[in-house]
Amino acid sequence: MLPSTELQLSRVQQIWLMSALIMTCAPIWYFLPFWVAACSLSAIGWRAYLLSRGHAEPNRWVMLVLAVFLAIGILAQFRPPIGVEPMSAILTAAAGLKFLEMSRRRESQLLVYLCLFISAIQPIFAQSIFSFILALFSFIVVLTAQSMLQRDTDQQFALFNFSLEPIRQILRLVAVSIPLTLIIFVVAPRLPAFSMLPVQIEKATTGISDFMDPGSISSLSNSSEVAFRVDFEGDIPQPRELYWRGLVFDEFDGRAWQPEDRRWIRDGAAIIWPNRTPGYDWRDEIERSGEPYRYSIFLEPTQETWLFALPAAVTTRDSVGATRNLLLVNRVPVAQPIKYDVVSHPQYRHQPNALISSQRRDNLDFAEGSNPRTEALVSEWVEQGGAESVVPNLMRLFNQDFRYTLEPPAYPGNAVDEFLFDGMAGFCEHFASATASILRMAGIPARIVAGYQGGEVHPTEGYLIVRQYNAHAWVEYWQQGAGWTRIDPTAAVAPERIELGFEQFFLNDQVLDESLFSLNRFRGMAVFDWVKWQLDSLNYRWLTLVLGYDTASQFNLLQNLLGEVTPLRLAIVLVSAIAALLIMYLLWNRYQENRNVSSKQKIVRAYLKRLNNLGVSVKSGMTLQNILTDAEQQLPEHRAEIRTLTQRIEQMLYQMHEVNMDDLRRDIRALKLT
Amino acid sequence: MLGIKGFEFIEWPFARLKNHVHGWQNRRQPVADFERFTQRNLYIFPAREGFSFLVVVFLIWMLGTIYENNLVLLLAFFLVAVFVSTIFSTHANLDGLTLRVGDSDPVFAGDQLQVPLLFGNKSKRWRRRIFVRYEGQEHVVDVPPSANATMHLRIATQDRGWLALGRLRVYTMYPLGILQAWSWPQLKSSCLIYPQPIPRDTTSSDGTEGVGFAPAGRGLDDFAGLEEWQPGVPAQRIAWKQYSAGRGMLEKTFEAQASNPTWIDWESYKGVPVETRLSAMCAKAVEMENCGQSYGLKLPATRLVPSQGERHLRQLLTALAIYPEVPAF
Repeated sequence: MLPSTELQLSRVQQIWLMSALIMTCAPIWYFLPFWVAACSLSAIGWRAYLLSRGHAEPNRWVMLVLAVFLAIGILAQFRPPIGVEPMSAILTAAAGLKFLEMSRRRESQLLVYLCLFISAIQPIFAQSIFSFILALFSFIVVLTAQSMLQRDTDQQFALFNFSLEPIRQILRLVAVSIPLTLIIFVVAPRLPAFSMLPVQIEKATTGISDFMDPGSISSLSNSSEVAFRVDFEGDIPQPRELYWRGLVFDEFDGRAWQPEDRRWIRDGAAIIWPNRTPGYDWRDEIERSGEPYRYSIFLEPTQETWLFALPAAVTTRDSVGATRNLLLVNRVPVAQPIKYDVVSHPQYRHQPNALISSQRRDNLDFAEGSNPRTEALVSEWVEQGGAESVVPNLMRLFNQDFRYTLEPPAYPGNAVDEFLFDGMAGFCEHFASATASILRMAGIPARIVAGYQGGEVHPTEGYLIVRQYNAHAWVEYWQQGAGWTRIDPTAAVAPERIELGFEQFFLNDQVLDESLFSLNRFRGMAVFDWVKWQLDSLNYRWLTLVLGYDTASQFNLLQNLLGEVTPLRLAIVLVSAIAALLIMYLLWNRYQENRNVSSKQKIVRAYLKRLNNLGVSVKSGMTLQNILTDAEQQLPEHRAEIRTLTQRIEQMLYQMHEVNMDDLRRDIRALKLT
Repeated sequence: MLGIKGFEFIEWPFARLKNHVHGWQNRRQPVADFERFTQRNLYIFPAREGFSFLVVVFLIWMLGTIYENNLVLLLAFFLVAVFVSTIFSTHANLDGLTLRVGDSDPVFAGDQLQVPLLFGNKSKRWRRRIFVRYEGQEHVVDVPPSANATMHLRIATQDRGWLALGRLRVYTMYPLGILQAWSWPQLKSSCLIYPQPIPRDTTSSDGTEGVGFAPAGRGLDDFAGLEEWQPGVPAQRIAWKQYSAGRGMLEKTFEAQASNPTWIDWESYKGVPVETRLSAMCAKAVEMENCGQSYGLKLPATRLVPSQGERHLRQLLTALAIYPEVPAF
């Protein structure tokens, strides 16, 4: 006899393995180039075809061609360093090919473990509750496939007698495992990430980019996706205080803006990391005063390195550095939701006394000659009232004739000239761009800051939600003594935009695309609002409790629960959890035994009831033998049936356990008057 | 023990360990008619697949740590919890199951014996994939809820007597194949093995080769005495007088009941080793039965009056098989 591991896979087993494979790979294929899915699916499809035709072994050539094609594809598509994307491409492809090739149970073990690992990769690509449930579900399917490998499943597979029993068994196992999972999750110590590998995900995400030309921010106003959520320790500041800085644009080519230090930020050279002490720390150029805001930000993935915070921000997270422009930068692109704690001093002076020469030069460059009409206007203003009159003049100009709109006309040429003199309508980036370049023309160092403005407060949970449509651009200019000062030209044109927030401001604007605010169309319907807020707070809980559960929150929680966090106490928690599981298991077994006894009683009761219905008087205190005698007298036509049934029931009661209780139950039910 | 090819050399300490373990086992789980698997005699340890499962869990945990992804860590911890609960469910697959050896027809030594193993399941759960490993054989059975299941061991018999089954290894890896729960029951069997029939001439009492069997001593009607009654004795031989007197069922024995009854006599094989002697007697008995003759048996402590027929042959062979024990008939 062959050992069971050398047996051929049965049809049912192959179908389960195939389901497990598709279930685990499909959510990952979504994030990978399409040909990975195409290759794996064709391998799986080929196997399914062979299965339907009754062949076992695939053609070696098919395998070879697929393998070579995959290898070329992976080499051509991905560049080192090997991140999670090429890794999952290789793994899913390998799993597909393994499925095509294998024929014995022993070989399928490798496939099952591969599937487990691939399922565990899923949450690296997406961290929503839904994706986690999907990953958990693929685990269940894989474990069911694994348990099917243990079984003797030689029967032919038919869709209609497809048994759910194996899944039920695994679900029972899963249900028992969940409490222990949670306990391990809470107490297991977290190791610091020894190396942060970049997660490269090709899927485009909406968000602020490091290149701003007219139209780039207004495109974000279409999206109500959440950019980040903020949990303030105290009261939420006034909307006009909520300027979430993300990027500083100081390089201007007459039309578009980009960060001067973009390349440096990418290389990490212009950043001070918390755990490194540089020779000269430009964080000393900041003078802070007053009460700070303390808050935690839960940032959704941006695939970029910059983070958002209120100005003069300090964070303690190891992987977050600070740039000279008072920005926070993450070490690697934010591919998964992250949480960072920030302390911000709203009253601060940054570089109040002097700019270094290169900074001054960069922040005065207005690409001379690119916007001649504006230059003429500015020199006129400077001649009449000096450099100080430029800002009031400009604000007056904006206030009188300009329109703030989501759908500005196109400014294809000299963007600032065309906006100021022809279109006179625009979104925040047009106003910011014009203001910054005019200030530079007047000899005042100025730069554009991009980020988000405002946010919506959750009505019951009290945290702040900042969405993509809160994306904003404003200006900072430098003055001797005051340092960098914020000026928001949009506030001059449309002060309600800042005071009320974006949503309120545009609520009645007919320009707003209906489909983009699909949720808002139902605004005012209490039920719908309620559902929307509940969903958001569910997401928030998920972010804070599960995704944001880090060493610090672990320490706090355990300290609250245990009083003091010591290895001994943690060990006690784990051991008692397992002991509780053991006790539960023993109790369950006891319950099962009892249930077995009571099911015997039920059968006897059912039998007596049936006899009673047939007209036999059954009184308490009668033995089965008495009843049988009575029944035989009263129902002579059923004598044989009743005699065998009584015998079987006696056998069942006296522990001769060959009696199949289901059959017995059915036969009792079948006892009828003919 | 490990079963890894190329690594047999590390198995010798395990062989010694195995002896120790079996000594301990003999005290802990002695030979029994009936075995019920409980916490006391069930053991559980990860199978090879279980260790590779833990490696996969470790890799997932590494992945979660490298990418600082709590969900990946959560999934790794989930698999750890599944591993722990599988300890219980694998254990539960054997726990409470009963095992005994069924009856089987006796065979002659050297023949193959089919020994039925009866698994009894009182619980409402299926007990799936119950494996028995015994001397290089592996058998598997699924036991339905509240039912029995049978499995047959094939045993090449060598020695006469009651079959000593030795240790079985009953194990299961169900449901996930990552843990193995096992027990080493040692069951008493009611399987009898007759001596191997090897014909041989008798020797006379002085040691020289003789021709035949001791002649019948007395005639058919010679009353020899009263013996305990055995089922199957013809009614005319029952001592009714004594029975009515309340002395129980007794049998009147006579000598030389058959026309030419023959004694298969222990003493007629003087100087022959015991086993060879029994084999020769066995062969003779089979031969006599086939010839339709009446024959009796004389062993040092056992006497079977001459008779014939299937039943008589069996009694006689049983007496030979269990020598020097005295059969209870």
